[in-house]
Amino acid sequence: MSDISRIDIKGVTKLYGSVKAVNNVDLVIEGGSYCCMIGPSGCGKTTLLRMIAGHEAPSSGTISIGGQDVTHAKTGSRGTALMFQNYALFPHLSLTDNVAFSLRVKGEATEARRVKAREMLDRVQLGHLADRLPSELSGGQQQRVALARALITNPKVLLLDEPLSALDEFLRLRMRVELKRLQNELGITFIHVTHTQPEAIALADQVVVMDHGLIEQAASPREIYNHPHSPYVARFMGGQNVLAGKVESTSGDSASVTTADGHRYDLPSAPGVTPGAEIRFSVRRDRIHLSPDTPARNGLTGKVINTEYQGTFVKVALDTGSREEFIIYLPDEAWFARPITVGETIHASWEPTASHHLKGTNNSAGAPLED
Amino acid sequence: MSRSSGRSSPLTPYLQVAPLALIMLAMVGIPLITVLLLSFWQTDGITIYSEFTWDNYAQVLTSPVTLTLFLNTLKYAALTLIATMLIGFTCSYFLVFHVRNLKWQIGLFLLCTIPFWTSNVIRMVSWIPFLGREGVFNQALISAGVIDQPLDILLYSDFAVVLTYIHLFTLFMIVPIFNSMAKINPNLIEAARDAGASGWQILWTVIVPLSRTGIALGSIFVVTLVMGDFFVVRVMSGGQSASVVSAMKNQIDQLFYPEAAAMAVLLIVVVLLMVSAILRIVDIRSELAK
Repeated sequence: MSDISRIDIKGVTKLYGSVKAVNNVDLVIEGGSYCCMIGPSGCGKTTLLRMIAGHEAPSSGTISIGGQDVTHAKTGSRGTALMFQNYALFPHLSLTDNVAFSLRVKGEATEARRVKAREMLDRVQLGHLADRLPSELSGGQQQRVALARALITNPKVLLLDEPLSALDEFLRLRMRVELKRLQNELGITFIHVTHTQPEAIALADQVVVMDHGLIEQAASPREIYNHPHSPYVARFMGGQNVLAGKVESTSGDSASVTTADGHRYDLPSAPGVTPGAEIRFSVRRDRIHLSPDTPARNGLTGKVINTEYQGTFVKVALDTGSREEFIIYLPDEAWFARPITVGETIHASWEPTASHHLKGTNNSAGAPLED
Repeated sequence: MSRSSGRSSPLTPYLQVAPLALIMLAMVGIPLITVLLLSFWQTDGITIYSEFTWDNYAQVLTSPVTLTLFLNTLKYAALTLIATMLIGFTCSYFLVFHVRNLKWQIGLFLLCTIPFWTSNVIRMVSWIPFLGREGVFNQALISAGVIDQPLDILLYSDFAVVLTYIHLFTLFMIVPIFNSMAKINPNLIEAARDAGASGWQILWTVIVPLSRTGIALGSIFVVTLVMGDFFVVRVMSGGQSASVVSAMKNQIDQLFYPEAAAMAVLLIVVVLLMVSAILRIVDIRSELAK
């Protein structure tokens, strides 16, 4: 189960009037992988998903599934199944008939399709409710029905449009695990649209970060998290501080950068980091040390404006005089060994390797969702 | 809002329904009871005696005319129901699923109501110059060479009666069907398409079942309106056909009030049976509560 569920998207554009909802997107999703598309609302992720499902036709470009061009193939005949955000269960049909719907329109006999639908309901642990109507179920149960209805067609690709957004926190985490388990079991491609960063990081083999109809970065979660392509990706995925400065000099594998307010930082050298260049770079929030006394070389100074205990770490926000807060995730032992009070001025420092040069130019703030 | 209004006495709900209940009692309840009483009273054709008798019912139920009248009226109701259902469903489908723009929807919907700017009588009578022997339609057909002789069945016939009913009552079908169709979540149609359903399959498996409340409500309107009509039958059939109510009207004209009352009670029973049959197929109350 790999190549037949591989998806190739080539030069796909979707125009709504003169608005480019999706702008010349190229993307390869490996067969049998779990792909999460993430971005703020209006970034084009849902439009891209709907084009893969066939509910929208691209204005230009091609989409192939398993090497077959399905750009204009009929919805429902291209090996995809879409699970809708609000589940879109048929309110007039029992769970069995909801799940059996696609078999019914294919002309399967009533008894045969009901048996198959019940098996599928058993698989999502709802066999005992087979004769109920969707309105008699909880949100989590409705979602399982939607999942069963999508899977009964044996799709090559399962498309999920914000599947967990209507659930409460507890259920969301449980369903997240279940989705991942199901994907492992079935071995088919899952494409999951979300706007929640932890969800994407936790589930995906491949994360596709989008903004304004463009793919900013498509890579493994680890790559996205550690080596964000642009300031936008760094901010949107969270866990990073973004700083800007001018490259002073480079020597071997490190470069020296000066910010507008005179701080100097060391940075691992990278292509594009040449003397005189204006660059932006990110610093991992959890790789920063705090010291109350001496300003360190590779660091900055700021006033603590907020501290938040998060269980395993403490989030400390510094006002450094720039527009963006500088945020530090401090291990809880370090924090409780020497608690920091709001209003205190402290010095933060980090190893040069905690910094990463941001090649991309998209500097928009995104909508970083803090967890 | 003051707190005291929240602490209502157990009488409050009764007081709230009292005005409507009183109006219904005065306008519907009392006349109905009068009709019911009258149907059991005696008459000699001139005077009515307030003495109990089964004669009126015996008369109505044993007369072969009654069955003919009911069958004729039911035929009108069935034909009108089928036609208004088809037209109403099609119009609503067009308005809801093809005219996605709300302004256009409202505009076209208002267009449907234009015939209601004039009275029923004028709308009905205006068919006469159109359908008549020397009417617009016959002349157009003759001058187009389709026929040599004018068609007689167009006016003063069952055709004319049913056509007029359809014209008068289709809107009563469009409104409730439009209403229940507009509530269908568009995602459901996409979900059906995603499952591989064709346009017809979506229509039959999703849209029709989800519009059934509207279809049932519209059917109740149309059936009760047709069953209760006498004027359209009288004018458009040219006096050649009769319905239950037009026969009743004749009896009243001849001052056979108790017999007409018995016929009225029978009609109410038949219409109630029809409405409860519709309600048995579609549970309107539970659907409306959603």
